[in-house]
Amino acid sequence: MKKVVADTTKCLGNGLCVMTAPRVFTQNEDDGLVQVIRPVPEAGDWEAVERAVNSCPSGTLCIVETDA
Amino acid sequence: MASSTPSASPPAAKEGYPQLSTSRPVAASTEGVIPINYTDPPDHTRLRRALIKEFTVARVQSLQPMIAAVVDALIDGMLEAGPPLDLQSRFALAVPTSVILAMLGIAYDEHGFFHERAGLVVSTNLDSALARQAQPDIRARMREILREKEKNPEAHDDLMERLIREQIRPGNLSHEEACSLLQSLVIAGHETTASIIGLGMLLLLRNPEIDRRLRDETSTKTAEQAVEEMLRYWSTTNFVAFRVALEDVGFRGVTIRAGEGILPQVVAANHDPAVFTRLPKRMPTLRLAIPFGEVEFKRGYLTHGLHALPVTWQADCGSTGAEGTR
Repeated sequence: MKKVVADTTKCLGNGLCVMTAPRVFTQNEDDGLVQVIRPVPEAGDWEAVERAVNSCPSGTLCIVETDA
Repeated sequence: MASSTPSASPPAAKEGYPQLSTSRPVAASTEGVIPINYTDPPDHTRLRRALIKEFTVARVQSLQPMIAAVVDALIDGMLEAGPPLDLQSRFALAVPTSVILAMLGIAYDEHGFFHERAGLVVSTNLDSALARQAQPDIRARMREILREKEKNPEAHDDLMERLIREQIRPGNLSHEEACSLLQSLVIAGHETTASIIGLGMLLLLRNPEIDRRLRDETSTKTAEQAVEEMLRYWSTTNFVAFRVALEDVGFRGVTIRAGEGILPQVVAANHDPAVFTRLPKRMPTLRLAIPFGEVEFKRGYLTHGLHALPVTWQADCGSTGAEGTR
């Protein structure tokens, strides 16, 4: 199963992911860093998620295969 | 590549950093503080994180009513003044100036001071004494305003007061680092947005059919797409991301040696025919099959165009699939 993960040690809070896939990503109000609301996005959101992953300027996001 | 690889560094202090002029280094440190856009982690991360929550998508969206009020007031002012007038100074520049000053909590009376100097900072007239003095002037004024706000940082709950309460007082940022960040914000808040509003309006004035489509469109989605496309098309910030290689780094068959300067060209990336047009990507060797002088243009029609466009290409170079195009 595919899953979206964020490495918040890299995140710089550009917010491109929030604009690109607002159903999957948000920003923490206190520090502005990314939060993945839906690590396993709905089928219709994957295209936007892939664009968000590719456009992240700090390389924070990636899509991983999990066993679960 | 240049923004995400740890082997390319922006600090101007490092040997080999590309400078436009020796008389006015773009990233000179002031009081020992280098501007945020010329720092590396961990300093860059710390400086940037001090401001991230002020510019989250949700926070910026929440500014929309304030920005709309600014826009309406400026239009009222132009209608009152009557035609003709300069849209660049009266509107394109006034919108971002008003917004950044309101966010920072600086009185609009100061806009002339900041506007004039922000313009000089991005000027390529590198040797003028006035241009050299612009950055120090902005920094000095920021120090004064910050010192004034530090007396009572609960008065207005603006960005500068939050920076004082949440970053300077707990010791995350030094006073001078805060001034440097504010200086970067006020400069960045002037020129880039003003440029794209002016150029965007010029594009609409020159292309009435695009203008009409946008006016007739009820969904804001189309306007958002138009703005994105204008940003790509005009690419107003071409000289902002210089780097120096910290170690040898390979990129698409080219080795950039340690100490060599890197000057990424935003305009070239934004107009890359391999990305932004389908036809040249899938038919890379496409060319005219006849001399240009023999191309038949339409005459005696209401529309301008071609009767025929004979082309040719190397038959083995075309791509049959649509993969990789957009």
